[in-house]
Amino acid sequence: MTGSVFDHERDAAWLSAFADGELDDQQEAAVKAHLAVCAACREEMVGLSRFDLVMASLRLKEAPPEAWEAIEARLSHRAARRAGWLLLTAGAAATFAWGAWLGVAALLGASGTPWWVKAAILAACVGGLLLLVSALRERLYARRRSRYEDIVR
Amino acid sequence: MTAPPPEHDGPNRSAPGRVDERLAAQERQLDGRDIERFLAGDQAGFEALVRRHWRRAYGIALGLTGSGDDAMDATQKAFLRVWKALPDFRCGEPFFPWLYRIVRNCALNQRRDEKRHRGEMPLEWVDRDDGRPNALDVAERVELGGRVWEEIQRLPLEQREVVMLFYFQGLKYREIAAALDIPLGTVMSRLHAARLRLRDRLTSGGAR
Ligand SMILES: [Zn+2]
Repeated sequence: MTGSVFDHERDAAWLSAFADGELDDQQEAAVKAHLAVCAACREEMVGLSRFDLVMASLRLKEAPPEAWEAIEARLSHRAARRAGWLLLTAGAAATFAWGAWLGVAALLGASGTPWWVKAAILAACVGGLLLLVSALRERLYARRRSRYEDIVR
Repeated sequence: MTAPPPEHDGPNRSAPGRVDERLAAQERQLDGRDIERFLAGDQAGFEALVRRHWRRAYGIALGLTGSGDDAMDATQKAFLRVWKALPDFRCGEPFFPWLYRIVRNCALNQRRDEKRHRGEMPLEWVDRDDGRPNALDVAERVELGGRVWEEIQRLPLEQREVVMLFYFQGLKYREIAAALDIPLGTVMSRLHAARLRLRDRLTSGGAR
């Protein structure tokens, strides 16, 4: 903190802070002592307090009720949409897996399927599984990062 | 040697609109609880958080965009971002400064998107409760209020923010410092500079 003597150049903002009750004790004492001897600053204080009287008589209008409705609607839509996507994806994946399994089981069970086709089916299944796991892991990693990019701190 | 006039004998510690310290502490506690609830998977925690802060968020966005429509859009976007980013919020920190930065980003983007803030007057007069008669008639009030708002909108962003938070959100200097992540002395000097500028602009135009 600066010393206890008020300096016009350096401490001009103290006058505002004094009016707002935001100075520490030392600064406050310095302003009081200075106001007692400086007519210019006393005049400045009168001007500031007249201005503040106007500001204190004004306030922001209440937010309109439709603002709340819009916020709530947007947030709940977002939550609903998320749930929708989740259900759709899970349902589609299950249906697809069941269909694929039926086809594969039919081929594997058929007596006319040569051994190398059965081996190819097995390879395709293992390959598909590996791809799925890898894609999921990448997705998870990207999500964790993008959350930070979203916010500029 | 004359003594200073009585109204400057001491600082005005009970300025109108100041937020009560105890209420602020209580609010911080509730915020922490609701964030924990949300992080544990309870959506109701998030809803409580939004309910507590949306008015203030809207007011901040209004000050920064200058338009009710823009403020509404910005507030919605801000809370969507809060929802996404909350898992990364460091619990135990005050929520408001964090929210302020998100609302601010959204509002400034919104203002850049669309320039539709002309001719709106989001300020209104409060009737004095100290029984003193009001010096201005209705027409003068409307005119002066409009000019105050216009001049606030003309301030550089760094001063406008401080003015909005101090006068219209009732924040203390140190709360403003935390929200803007600037030193206390900077809050002091920005607010003082803004005051002088507003006062000069308003008096030079013939207002009282
Ligand atoms: Zn002086």
